[in-house]
Amino acid sequence: MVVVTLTPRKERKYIGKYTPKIDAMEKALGKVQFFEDVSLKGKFPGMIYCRIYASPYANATIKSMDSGKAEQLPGVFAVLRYDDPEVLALPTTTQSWTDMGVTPRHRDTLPRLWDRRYLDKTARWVGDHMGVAVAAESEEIANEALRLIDIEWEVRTPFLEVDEAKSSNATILHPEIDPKSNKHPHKYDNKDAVDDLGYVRGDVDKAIAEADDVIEVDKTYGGRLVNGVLDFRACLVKWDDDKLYCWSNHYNVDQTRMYFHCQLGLPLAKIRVRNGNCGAQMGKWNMGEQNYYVITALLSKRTGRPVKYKMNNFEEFCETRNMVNWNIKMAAKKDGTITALDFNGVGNSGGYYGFSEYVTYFICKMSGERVFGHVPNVRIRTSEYFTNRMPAGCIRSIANIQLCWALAQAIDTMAEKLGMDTIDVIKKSFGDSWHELPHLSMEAVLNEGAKRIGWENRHRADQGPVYEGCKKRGLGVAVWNQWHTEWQEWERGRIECGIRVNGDLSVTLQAPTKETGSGGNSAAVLACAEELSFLNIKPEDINWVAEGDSDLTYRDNAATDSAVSWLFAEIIHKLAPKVKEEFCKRAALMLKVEPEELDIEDARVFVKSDPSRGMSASSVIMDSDCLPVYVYMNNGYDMTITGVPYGAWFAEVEVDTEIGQVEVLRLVLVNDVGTVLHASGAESQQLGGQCMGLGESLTEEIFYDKATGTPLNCNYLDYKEPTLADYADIDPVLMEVWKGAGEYGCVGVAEGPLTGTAAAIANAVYNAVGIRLDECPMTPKRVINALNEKSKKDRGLEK
Amino acid sequence: MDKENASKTVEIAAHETIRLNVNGRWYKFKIGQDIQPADTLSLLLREKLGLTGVRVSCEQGACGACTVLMNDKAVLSCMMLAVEADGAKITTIEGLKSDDEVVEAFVNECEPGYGTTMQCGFCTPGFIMEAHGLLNKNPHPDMEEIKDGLSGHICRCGCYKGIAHAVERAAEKINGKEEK
Repeated sequence: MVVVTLTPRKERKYIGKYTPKIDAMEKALGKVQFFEDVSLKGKFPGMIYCRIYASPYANATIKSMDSGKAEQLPGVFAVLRYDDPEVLALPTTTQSWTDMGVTPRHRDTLPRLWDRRYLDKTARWVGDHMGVAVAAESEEIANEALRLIDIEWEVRTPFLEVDEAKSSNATILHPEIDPKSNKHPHKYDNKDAVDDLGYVRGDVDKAIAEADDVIEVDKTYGGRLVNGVLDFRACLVKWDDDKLYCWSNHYNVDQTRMYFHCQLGLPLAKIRVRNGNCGAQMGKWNMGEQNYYVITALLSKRTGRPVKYKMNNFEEFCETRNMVNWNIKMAAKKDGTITALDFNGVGNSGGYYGFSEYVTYFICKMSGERVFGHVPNVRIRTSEYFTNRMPAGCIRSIANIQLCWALAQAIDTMAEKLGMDTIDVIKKSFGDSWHELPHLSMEAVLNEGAKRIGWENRHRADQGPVYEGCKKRGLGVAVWNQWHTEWQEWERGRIECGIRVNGDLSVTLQAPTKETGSGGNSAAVLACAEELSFLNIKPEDINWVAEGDSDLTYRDNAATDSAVSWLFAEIIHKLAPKVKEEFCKRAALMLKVEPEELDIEDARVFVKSDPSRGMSASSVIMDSDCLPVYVYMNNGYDMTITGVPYGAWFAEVEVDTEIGQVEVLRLVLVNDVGTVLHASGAESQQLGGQCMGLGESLTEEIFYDKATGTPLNCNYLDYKEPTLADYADIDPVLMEVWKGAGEYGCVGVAEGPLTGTAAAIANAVYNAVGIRLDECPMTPKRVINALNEKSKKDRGLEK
Repeated sequence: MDKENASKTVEIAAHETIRLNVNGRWYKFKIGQDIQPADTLSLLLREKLGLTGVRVSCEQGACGACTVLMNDKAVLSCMMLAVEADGAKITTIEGLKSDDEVVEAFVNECEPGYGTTMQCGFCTPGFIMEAHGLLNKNPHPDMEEIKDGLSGHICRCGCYKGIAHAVERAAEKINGKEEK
């Protein structure tokens, strides 16, 4: 493999380098504390365990419940039922309680529907937390207590697909929202949409009628992948008199506190939430499953004990992406210019609202500026439905991945129809609406990726050589915008950061964020060393405060949306001059000059007009009262619209035409990120994203028993995540072409790396064997079926 | 558990105590008092000895996070009973130092093109212990053997390229030292 290292646009001391993570040693030696480590029973004498009833039926309602035997079971401390007055008095709750910011109940950052009740008596999917919860001496006793509960059910026929949800026989899963339909109400600026038509520009019908070529694709993506991380969702709550203490592995301390405040009515100052590290996030905690926090809290209040709740394998697995069917019609001129795009997206969010139209309407409309900003005629229709699948919502690469799956294959299909190279078609028509075409960033990532994968050797579809008698190879490409950049992050609200320089010039950096693995802490420390280089401060001199604590630290920066690294880098850039100012102010008193007369270099404060006069920066503190130099700020956003940069995915696959196996031989991922903050960390995100993308493309799939709606393989043995044995050759490439606002002008690189993986692989499969796959994962069964269809069609043509 | 092990376990459980050498120190546990016959080794290590670097996740032998060395062989500590480890030498991540070749290789991996060996770090101790088990068994593994040897572990952050590279580097370093 030829490795080409990044050449940064501006040489800096610590930023943009290939260096280890700042916490690599602590992590390697197992010293980092995860939730399970801070919640050991030995640390919380008297701690008991909460378990919540998970419905065995996908579509059913409790008619009556007898919890007597459970209440009598030795070791059971409390049983909390659906008909308990305190439970009935709780407000409803919802999914997407937050995304990036801290959100009170009355204000939406994303449209929400309050479609969840605590311990509801109705179940909407197999595994739905409902009915009853218990607190007991051990998890085993709690589980046994749940088994002893007798329930009389009204069981109804489950349905998993949108077509069934539309049927007049289907149960209306949320009559409180619409008594007549399982369809979600439109909630964005398409509120008054007629026939689900939310957005129009130009005249799509006319453009299609006048086009030289028109193609149509119908692709489904989502509903099959799970987060699949190793650190399961959990909390520990101790509700002592009037103060509630919570330990959690949620990605945002302040949002967890806001949740308790809004749901339980406690003053914010009487709620203390703490978290430590988290064994990866990948988007979870956005699905409405936060119910367990309030239930655990109520059980703590009832029993006067610390109560711990932790999901089991099955529960941890029950969350997925929204399943979306995108039908796209695309029109083009003979020269390859795309003249119209007609989208029809139909989503399946499972038992609850999920991220609903965010995944269909919102992202398609936004992509109308970010991806197909220059296509003159665009029409978007979307609808979403409730079904009895497990709830859908936020998983890494949310929403963009479903649309990219369809659009990248549509572009490839059109290119072939026009007899053009796919890359040329992309360059001609795709890019954000704020830049002219060809978009420099788009062009750069495509050219670099094409060079790396050997695109010039790409043969025509199904025309390549045959290897080992039955294997054929192909190349494919996909592109998508990077996210997020500064002007897209305003909803997060201001962020807080503080720098405390001690007398020995070591630093305590208060840049609170949950370390989920995304590396915001490494970037913050590197930026801090970079910006404080006038004090000769090195990354190892900086102590990043690891624990989130709503009583003791600032508001934590939600570890979402690929933004934490650069948000901290930008605010630290603004804080550093304040550090200098404070040193000069103090030194001025000691040197008996005006602060403006001073400057600092090499950790020495000196008089600019007479550099021989001065003192060490350390003695400014150590020779006075030893008070550390401390600066703090909270920061909003530069709303200058700078457009967006791009990522390009290139895949080379080998398809075994006898057994239908798709093997990915090579992946090249090129990301233009504005400025690379921590090169090794960024590459790690690219590589890791490809790995997750490989899993979603080839093997990861939740299966259901259609008759009962039961998900069948919610565990690590029966659900196949990639391991080292499945790993392909991946080439991560970082570029700095586009630049955003601010000193660094970055865009994220953690959320997006898997957006185009599946689409590039699908296009490569087509190039190899001439079949278009409409669904993911591209398993041997789907490939063989498609090959058989093709074979039948080819034979028909021969006749 | 096979028949022979099962009867051995019953036999041990009937004893009053078990002895384990964990990270170089002997510990004695009274069955029924300090530990229960059904306690797993991971539970003993985490809850009784506070060795929380032993990560427990799936508890079904699929993720590899709980891997420790038993008599220098990698084992899944959540898949065996504590009493089965009677008399054994157990090494957990806490038994390794920062200058251990495998630890160093995992920490310092940052070569262009390879990313890092970890993001969240939850699975890392398990991978490190498995790598030690592999290198104890096979001091000169090739890339295929490394991939195969470590394929019982899940890293959801997907740092496999860095991990495989670090194991290769650690082997080179250990072998280099031995040759001297």
